[in-house]
Amino acid sequence: MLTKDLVAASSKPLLLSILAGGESYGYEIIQKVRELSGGQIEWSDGMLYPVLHRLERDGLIESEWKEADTGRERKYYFLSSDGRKAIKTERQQWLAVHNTLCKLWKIKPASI
Amino acid sequence: MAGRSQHPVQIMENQTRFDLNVAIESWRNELTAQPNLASDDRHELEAHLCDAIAGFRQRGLNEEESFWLARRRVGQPQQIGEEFVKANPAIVWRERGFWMASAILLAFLWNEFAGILCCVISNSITSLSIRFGFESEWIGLTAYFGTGLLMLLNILPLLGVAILLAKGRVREDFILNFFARKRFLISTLVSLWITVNGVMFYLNTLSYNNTLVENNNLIRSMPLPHGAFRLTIDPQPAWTALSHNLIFPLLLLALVLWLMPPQNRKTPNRA
Repeated sequence: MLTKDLVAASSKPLLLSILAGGESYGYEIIQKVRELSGGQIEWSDGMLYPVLHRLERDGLIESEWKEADTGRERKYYFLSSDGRKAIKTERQQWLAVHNTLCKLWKIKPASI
Repeated sequence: MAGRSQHPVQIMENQTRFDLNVAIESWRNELTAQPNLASDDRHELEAHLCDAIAGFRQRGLNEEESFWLARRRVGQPQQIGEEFVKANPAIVWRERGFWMASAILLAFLWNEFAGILCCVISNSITSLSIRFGFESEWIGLTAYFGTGLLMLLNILPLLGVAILLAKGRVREDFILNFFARKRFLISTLVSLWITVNGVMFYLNTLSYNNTLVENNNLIRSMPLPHGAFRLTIDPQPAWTALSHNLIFPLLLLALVLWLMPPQNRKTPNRA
């Protein structure tokens, strides 16, 4: 399980990257993160929305209420053009940390 | 199939003990009690809760278990409220301002409308009283009747709304959905305002002519409200009426539109 600080720091690149794959809503995003991390990253459901709203206020993502096939309405989030740019920066920074750690721990680094 | 036939009694027992809709309703009320959550946030959390319940149901859990697990996942309402306000303290005040400005504008327009109505009724009774030769004491009373009616008309809607809200008969969603459609809101308020001013213009002209023809002050036992497009012959400066009926409501309308929760603007019309 990740520490609280790391969960907070990694939420932005994770959310942006998930939305880069297409629009999504809160519940689906949490399921996806849980699945991809093999249960290592466990976000609390209620805390996800303040983060999403902050990203929206920063102009990185946008949102829209839509009717799902269940008949209920859901708020869907999707990436803005600024969000796409932000992913590039995030990617560079996280890979820089990752590669440095890999060198220190003598593991083969991932390609940038 | 043989196994299924044993269940009905058990299922009925569960249904009497646990009602999912009631459970969601009471959870919703808990969220509504959180002052830091905007209505859009509450809708989003409710959609999440329903998705989580459906997810657990798919895994074979019953309604009650699914609800309690989903509720735990979403978190304590108070804690959620604190997280939301940390993320965006301004939005809560924006929504409060929106409701205040909307209420003031509606109350203002209603007050104008009620004013005209009472004036017309009261003055009609006065005219009729004069025509049918009633005593002057009775004619004086008709002016009080108009004022009393105006007070009633101003207080009754407020009392009605307060009682309905207190009894939980009106859901906040209903009002919010009404306001969610921006174009609908603007056209309602603007047409109300045009009607009020149009009627006032007409009445001011009419009353001026009546006063000239009959030369009788009793015809205007109750003063007419002053329209923005009133005739300049009236002794009251025209700019007072202009600021009261044109600038003030339009400024309030602009404020309402500016403060309207941004998420609601994107909300599609419910099918």
